[in-house]
Amino acid sequence: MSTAIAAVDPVTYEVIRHKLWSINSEGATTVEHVSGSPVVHATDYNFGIYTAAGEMAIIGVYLLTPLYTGAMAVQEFLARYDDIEPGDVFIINDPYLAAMHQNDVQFCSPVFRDGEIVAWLGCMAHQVDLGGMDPGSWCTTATDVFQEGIRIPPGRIVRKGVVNQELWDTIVLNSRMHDTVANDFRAFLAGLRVAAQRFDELCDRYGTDAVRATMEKTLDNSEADLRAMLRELPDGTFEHTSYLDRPDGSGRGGHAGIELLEVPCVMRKDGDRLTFDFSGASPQSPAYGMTTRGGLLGAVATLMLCTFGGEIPWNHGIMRPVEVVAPDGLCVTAVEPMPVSGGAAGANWTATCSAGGAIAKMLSFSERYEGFAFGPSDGSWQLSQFGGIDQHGEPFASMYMDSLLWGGPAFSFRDGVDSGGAMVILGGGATDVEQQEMRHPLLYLWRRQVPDSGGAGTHRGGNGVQFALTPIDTEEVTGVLGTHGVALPNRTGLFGGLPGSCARFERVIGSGVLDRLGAGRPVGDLTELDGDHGVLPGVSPAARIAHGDVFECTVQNGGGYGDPLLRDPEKVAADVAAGAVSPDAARRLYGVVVTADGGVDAAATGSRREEIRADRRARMTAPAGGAMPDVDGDPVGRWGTALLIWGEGGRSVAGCAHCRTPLGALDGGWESLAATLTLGPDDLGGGVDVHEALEAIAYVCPHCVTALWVDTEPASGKAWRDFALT
Amino acid sequence: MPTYYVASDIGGTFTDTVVIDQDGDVGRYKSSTVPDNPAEGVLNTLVDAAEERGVTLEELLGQVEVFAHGTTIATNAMLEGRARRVGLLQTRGFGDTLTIMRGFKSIGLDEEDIKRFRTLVKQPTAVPRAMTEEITERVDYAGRVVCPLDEDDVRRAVRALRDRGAEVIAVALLWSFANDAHEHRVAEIVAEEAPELGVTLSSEFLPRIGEYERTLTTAVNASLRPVLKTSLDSFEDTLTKAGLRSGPLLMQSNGGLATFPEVEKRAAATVMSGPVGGVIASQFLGIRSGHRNVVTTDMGGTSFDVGLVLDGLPVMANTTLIGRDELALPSVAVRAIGAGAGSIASVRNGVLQVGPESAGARPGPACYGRGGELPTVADADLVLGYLNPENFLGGRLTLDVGKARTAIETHVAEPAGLSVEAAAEGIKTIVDARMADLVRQVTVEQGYDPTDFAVFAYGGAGPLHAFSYGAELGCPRIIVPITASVHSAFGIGCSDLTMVEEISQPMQTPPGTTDHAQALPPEALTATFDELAGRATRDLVAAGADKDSISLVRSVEIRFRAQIHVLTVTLDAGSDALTAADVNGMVERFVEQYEGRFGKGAAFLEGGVEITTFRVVATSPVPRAEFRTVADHTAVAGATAGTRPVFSGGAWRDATVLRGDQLHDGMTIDGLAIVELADTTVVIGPDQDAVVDGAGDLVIQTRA
Repeated sequence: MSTAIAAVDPVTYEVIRHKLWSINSEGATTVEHVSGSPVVHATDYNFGIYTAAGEMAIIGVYLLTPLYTGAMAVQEFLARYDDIEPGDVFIINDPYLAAMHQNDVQFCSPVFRDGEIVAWLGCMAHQVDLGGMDPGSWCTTATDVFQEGIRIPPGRIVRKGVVNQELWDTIVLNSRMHDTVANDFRAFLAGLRVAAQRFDELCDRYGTDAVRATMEKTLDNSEADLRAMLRELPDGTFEHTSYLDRPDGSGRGGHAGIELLEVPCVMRKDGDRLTFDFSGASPQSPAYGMTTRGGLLGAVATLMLCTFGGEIPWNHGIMRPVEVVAPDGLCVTAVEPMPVSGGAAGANWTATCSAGGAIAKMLSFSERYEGFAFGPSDGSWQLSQFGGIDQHGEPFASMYMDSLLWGGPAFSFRDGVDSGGAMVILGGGATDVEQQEMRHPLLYLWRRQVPDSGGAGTHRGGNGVQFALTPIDTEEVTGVLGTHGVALPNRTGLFGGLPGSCARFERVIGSGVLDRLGAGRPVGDLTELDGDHGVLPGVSPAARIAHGDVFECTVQNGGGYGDPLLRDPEKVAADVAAGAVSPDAARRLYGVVVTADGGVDAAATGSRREEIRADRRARMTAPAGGAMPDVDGDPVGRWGTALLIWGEGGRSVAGCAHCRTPLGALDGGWESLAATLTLGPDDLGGGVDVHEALEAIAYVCPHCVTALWVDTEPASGKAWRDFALT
Repeated sequence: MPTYYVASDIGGTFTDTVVIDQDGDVGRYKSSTVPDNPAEGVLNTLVDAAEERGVTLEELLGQVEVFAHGTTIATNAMLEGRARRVGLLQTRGFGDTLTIMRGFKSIGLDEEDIKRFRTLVKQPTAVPRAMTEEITERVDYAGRVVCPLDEDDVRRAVRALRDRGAEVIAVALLWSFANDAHEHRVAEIVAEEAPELGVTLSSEFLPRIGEYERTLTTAVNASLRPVLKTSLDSFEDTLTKAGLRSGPLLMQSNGGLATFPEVEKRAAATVMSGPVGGVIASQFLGIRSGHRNVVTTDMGGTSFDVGLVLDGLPVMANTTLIGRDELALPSVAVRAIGAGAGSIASVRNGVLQVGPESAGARPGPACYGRGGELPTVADADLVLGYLNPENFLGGRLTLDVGKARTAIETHVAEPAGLSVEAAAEGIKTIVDARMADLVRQVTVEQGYDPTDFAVFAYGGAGPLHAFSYGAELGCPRIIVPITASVHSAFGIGCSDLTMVEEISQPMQTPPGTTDHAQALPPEALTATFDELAGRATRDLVAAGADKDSISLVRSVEIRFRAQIHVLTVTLDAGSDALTAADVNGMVERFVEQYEGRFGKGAAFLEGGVEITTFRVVATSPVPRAEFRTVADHTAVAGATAGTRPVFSGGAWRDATVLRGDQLHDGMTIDGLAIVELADTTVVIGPDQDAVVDGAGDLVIQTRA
């Protein structure tokens, strides 16, 4: 786009680059300071510098999924208005155009130099409330967008330096929290003002051309780096599917009352380009889980940054080689009048899971980049918001950030991070139990890490937390709960690693827990409590938790990497000692027998592992296959820890990477070369539920029975292929 | 008979010592640190000091009235994992507190590292989960017992930890600061079951809200205490045998001194012992020269550390960051980035970058001739002519210009298509700009404009680079103190005996409150402060302070209930009973401070306020002399300035070169100039001049 922007010397480039970063963080600091909103402090806000054309030039570490909508917003303003002037500040929150949901309000201002726009500054923060049927504007049971928070079309909140007071007041009046929203808006303006002033100083000092050239070059460099990486990876189609489960409205219990939406990702890689195709996703519907194109692009951008951005500076260059294909009207591209207030954590999260799986399948063909691959990283945001009258007699409403403490995905070289492995928030966490109890009338019975909740594997998925609450010094509280991933694991593993545990909300009515504790009888588990036990539906907009009741939330956790039978027994024993793996799971899933003093019983472990292999052999369905092909020479490639690939007379022949036995030609998909077996509860970690429409399938080598891949697939059979190289 | 006041900063590489006599003359000494025996490095510096004064070491030590020092013992023990094996007792249901780490995996990391998801993992926990036992008990937010302590369960847990090899026990139960009965009973049971194990209680050591940091800090403290005690005992023994007659003092992270018996209880409070000295020295000298707002900049071999002095007081942090752990102990706030003389320059994609990788002390910059081949900031400084190869570290190391040129040529100039000089100047420009950006960030985050501050520059490379990063910031004055090469040691010598006592007692005012004293009763606040003040005073008197010399500062940690930032607000000094007016005044001051830092209109008083923690800081001055000018500024008559070429602004120019003994009070030096002090090279930029002030400090300003 740039018309002959002067080149910039390498020293000036580096100085300007760092100063742009510093300007951006000064803008962000200003927003954070002036706002003071707890949501902003949970990093659900961002500040960015964009090029004149609206590409992200400088971005920091925040909640990542909304980042990309800033670029969409600037491009929307540019497309709609040809009378943009210095001193204008634009506003937008319309999720169908450039936001993940209505709460995310974006302010952007153009930077003019000599009568020309040379850059844009933008900031966004999740507003605590913008009206709609439910406080907080996260309306889990809305059936159309008009029941939700106010929608703000692209327009000017400040025109030539003068605040558009009518628009300002209209928005603020539509919030239940006038002051907080007005304060956030003031914070936006303060942040934009500070950054604009410093940007001007930078241009004065180094010249506008040098500043523009630096921005362009950072993008060009990141783009070039990514394209170079892509060229090292094989061309082909890579596919992964994940599902969003939600109550079907029938009120039936168990799986019968849960319907599944499908979000497949077909990723095509051609040379130095990537296409993510979500055309096969379920159509939109007037219920929980819908996300807009902004949410979908945000999901893909987040994945691209976190997969490739470890080596490459974060900016729009990382998105230039990427195309996202999906027609309007799907669950990931919902249009008016679909309800989308939960679109920040609905089907776009499922899209992150399927796209993440597809990227991992591609990266694993490269010895150099297989360490970049990770399985689905963030399963579901378990909205756990409580309101009522607190112990000081005042009304309260609070979202418990404990839900963020899920386990991270395993990699080819390490275990997943326990309790805090999130990708969407790299730098965030939760509050102390004591801080929560001081402010809210809920006593924690425990906040603990759940053993075996991360998927077993050669490298283990990260375990996550479980927290239980009971009202204290109040009659009752009401919970607004919303999640998916209760009836299936979104967090599948890679190369034989097992899926992580599912999400769960549970309630015990009339537990008498405080009396029990008062009598000196501790509670180890909900099952020890009296009362009426029940699992709450994933979407529970008004869960009553009365005095004497107990609420428990268990998060969805990371998948493993590689067959658990190949995990170093000493590591399993260390996990058992640390309470991360139970002795039962060690024996059942890893085939490791731990002695009374915590050591590995080598002989018992050896025979237990043989026993598991024999069991797999007995249960597996062997592939149809005919005569095994002969292969000559060394393999020409491999796929993760699963397959070796030989080139034989123009065809690719795959073999088991563990026993090196050739399995057959790849033409019909690698899946047809493996034996399969259906995994039952005894083969999976505790806390994994598999919806009746799905099955957990293990693909194993028909010879050595090592698990090569484990996935959840339609019970009627898998219709896609993990990869097809071209 | 002369009297001496001595302070040493025992760093990783060098031990710096200042010896101040009763007339206020400051002598500066440097020696290599002896890692296995820190006292030896100190004695080596004192041998030099004694020689200079024509006395024996024993004579000198016998006349030392105060010996204070900073140490890296606790820091190293923690970072190198040499601390003792802790067994930790926690409330049932919360034994995973340290493992969960509140879900954070980014603490203490730079943005670049946070952005690399595949390597972004938590640091190892301070106590392995297998060394933690849960015990049945529970106290609620109001200090009420929800579940009584199960003593049999405690006995079982203590035995289990002892059997697994615990050497010390830490106890951190939920809400123990609100009701410490359970923790005290646990201590009694440990004494019965395992009398050989020392116990640290969170309710005694750190009675403040927030179980993660309280648990972490208590456990770290328990693990460091035995290590620090052994080390300090041997240190004191060595110095006493050599002739020291006073009890040595140790610098704490909070910028105050403490006696050995006191500091042994608070080992974790010494992890920033060394670095904070420089801030205290800048505070001291700043006040003397009329600079009450100071940015302190310490540029060493691997890092650039920035602190702030506001209105004559160092900016404090409520926590201490050590490695990747944040301890809940107040410290003088020091922020660091990986930019130092050893930062390595590289070219990738035609882009020139400096750091964060560092060549460290080994192999060090290429010019050290110790096998380093990669170009560093020090190599650039040498090539550009700022450093004198024959006068580095007081001549202890001769620098190799050829090696520096080769390194820059190979790794920067050729790949970037620049001349060697242009590449060297590019390296310096980039690192100076980065440092200026950090200083700006630190001041802006506190709500201030850097142009309102004087810059103090010290550390190995600070005085050489300050003319550039200081000017870039627009700060009116850049001050290179005469103590620059031993600035932290000097700061340790300027510190007071300090004791901090605090407790969390959360109190809130309802929304809409106007008379805050109604919800925050003055009598209740007074009683809490009196209790803390009594304890702090008792401890200081035990440390040898005169009761009448003790001053008390009372403060609270307070926030708006609808907002997130917590500020420390100081009440009027003294220990008088508080009145309603005092309490309302405190809230008003909070609003003022809040808006000063976060912007007008940012306060949200209507939502009510919340006090979490009460703190009393007690200080008592340590005897010291009034400082005066420093020895090597006695002008040598007839000394003439030399010149040497310096590459600046794209061309070689002649720079005036002066030695320390050529300076005299009131003298003005026109830039471009280089002043070679012992151990320190000061540069004055082409459009700057410097004045030698009465104290011997060099004050650099942009020429009018």
